[in-house]
Amino acid sequence: MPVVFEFPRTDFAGRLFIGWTPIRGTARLTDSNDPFERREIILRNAGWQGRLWFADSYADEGASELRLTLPGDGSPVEFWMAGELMMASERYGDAIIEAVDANDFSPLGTQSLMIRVRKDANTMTAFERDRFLSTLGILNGRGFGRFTEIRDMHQNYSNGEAHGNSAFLPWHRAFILDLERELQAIDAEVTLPYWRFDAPAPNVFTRDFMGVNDDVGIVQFNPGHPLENWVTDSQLGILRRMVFDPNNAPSGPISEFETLALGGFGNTYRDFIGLEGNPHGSAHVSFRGFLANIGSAARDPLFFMLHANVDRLWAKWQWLHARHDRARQAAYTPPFFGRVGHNLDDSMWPWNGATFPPRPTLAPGGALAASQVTDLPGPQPTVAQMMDYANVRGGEDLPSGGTLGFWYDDVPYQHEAEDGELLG
Amino acid sequence: MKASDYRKQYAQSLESEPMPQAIRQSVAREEPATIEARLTTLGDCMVEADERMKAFNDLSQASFETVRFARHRSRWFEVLRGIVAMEPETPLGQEAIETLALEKDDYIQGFLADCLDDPDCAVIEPARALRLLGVDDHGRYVATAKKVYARTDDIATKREALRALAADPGSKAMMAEVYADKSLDPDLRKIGGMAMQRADPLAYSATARQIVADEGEDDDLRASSVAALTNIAAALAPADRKAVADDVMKAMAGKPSAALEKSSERLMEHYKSYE
Ligand SMILES: [Cu+2]
Repeated sequence: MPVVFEFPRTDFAGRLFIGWTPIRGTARLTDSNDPFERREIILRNAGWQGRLWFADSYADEGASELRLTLPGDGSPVEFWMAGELMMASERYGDAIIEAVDANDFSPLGTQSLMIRVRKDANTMTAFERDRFLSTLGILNGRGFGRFTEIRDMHQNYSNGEAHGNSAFLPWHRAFILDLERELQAIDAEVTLPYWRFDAPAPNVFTRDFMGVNDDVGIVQFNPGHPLENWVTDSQLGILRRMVFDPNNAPSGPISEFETLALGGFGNTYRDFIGLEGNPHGSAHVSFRGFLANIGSAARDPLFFMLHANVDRLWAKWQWLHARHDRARQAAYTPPFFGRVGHNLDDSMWPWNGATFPPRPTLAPGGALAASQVTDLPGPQPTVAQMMDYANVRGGEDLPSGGTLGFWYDDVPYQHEAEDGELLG
Repeated sequence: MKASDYRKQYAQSLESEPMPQAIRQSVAREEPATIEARLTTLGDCMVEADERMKAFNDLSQASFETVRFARHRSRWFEVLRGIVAMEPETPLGQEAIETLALEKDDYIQGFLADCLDDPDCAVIEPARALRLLGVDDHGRYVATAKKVYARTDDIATKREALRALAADPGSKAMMAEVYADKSLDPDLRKIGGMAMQRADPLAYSATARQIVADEGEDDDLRASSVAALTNIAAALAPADRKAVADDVMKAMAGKPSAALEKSSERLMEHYKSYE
């Protein structure tokens, strides 16, 4: 094909994964004999699921088509693009950029990609659900290895790192990202879905998905379900008993709107962090069994979907009130006495391997899992690195890899300027 | 949809919400004195059951905020133990038993073990008692679990006895026998299989292959075994995976149930990634 695309970051197999954060791409001509030729082309969507917007310079929204003029000397022409909100992919290649001739619409080049974002577990497709479950089953395997380490990070002995303090949200953001990256190392097209605990999720609590408990409180799945043989240490199966009707939301957790108002009139992090009690703790104790106890909670895979939603609520609050900037007190408030692990530039346990007091005496799991799509936050994440996960403050000056590589389907990208003002 | 349009739409729906005057504060955000008052309510058997249950729910949420709750923790456990001692068979008593069991509380483990040792104890169903004892993975209650397994005919109770035995290295051979025994209920065999795939994946794969290849076997057990063989692929040598794949292909060529077919397709898909 005469038009060739290039992007700053693809995975080892040359695949392109993007989200809501705009990335810079280039297109160039490869078949011209005339260096002074100017060929008009149109970039457009040719996929059947994922959709993109395009712009000719950095922006946080654009149009579904873009006209470009490519020079005959083959030099690249820059454009910007991102996934269109609500139009994420289901699988790799269902989003396609197509270059066509602006005059006769003849095809000149294509690039397949995936708009890979975290989705609502209750509304994701059966295909997405099964793929997620299969990958999770493989990651846990026979109950040894990497998932065991991940479980061991969330323990009573690590309470001072992860709970009851400012870094509750950043710590858990890194924690579930670690898990998601391990899943993506097995299947790059999988993301961690979130369970909205303030809305009915009848599709989640089925034998096809997260299971249904029996009278004893053991979760039952359909035969052959990837989690049917779920084992953690010597615990065979998942101990979980719902104390709410699966056709309704649990009664304890406050709603999304109420959560987003927790920050009070100043929308401060110091008050917003109250979500650790409700809805977070309240969602946990909507069940009996593993989930209702810190030491055992991460044995239940539903834990990670619950925490994906806690993290999504933080992301949504950050978006709604422009709270991604580490320099703003309202966006993050370190603890009064500055316990290590909770200040902006502190690296977080266990990824930093720290085992001197007041850190726990062991640090299971080693470094944070690497990603194919970004170098951030690196193996030893700091508190501050978790804040601007989608690089909304980076704009065009930072490389397009300046994100943590995850997005939520209903939390848009909008550029956040110095003063907290939005671009649009 | 454009981000700016979404923002407008979202802001509108926020405004149409009744003002969240109702930012309901969780109990953990209240003064420690409130928590102490709730503990008193919870422990007071003169108070209405509903009110005590409400206190229990508030407190179990507060207890999840472990750092803030630390100073109340020992009293919380004490109150719960008191409830178990006085009124174990009430709904509140059952909640207290479950909460303490998840904490691997010594008192409750002794309580559950005593109840299981006594065939006349009706305070908690044996299957649930076994499951809650099994939360402790030190295998301290192996003898009790074995005794109950031999004593009962109830499948759910037998199943939970087996599950509790998974913590006991000495029960490895028994688990392998249960998994392979065609005369047993498939629900029990699944537990044997789960324990075996964890303890000895290679031996598991040999038995699982026979089950998968045998058309006379229970289709659900076959599907379940294929799912396990998929998840433990990394623990098998290439030659073993090849043998597994051959048997799964045979099963697919027969008349597999929908569940067996689906899990077989998943296995073949995953095994391809090792090629
Ligand atoms: Cu949690």
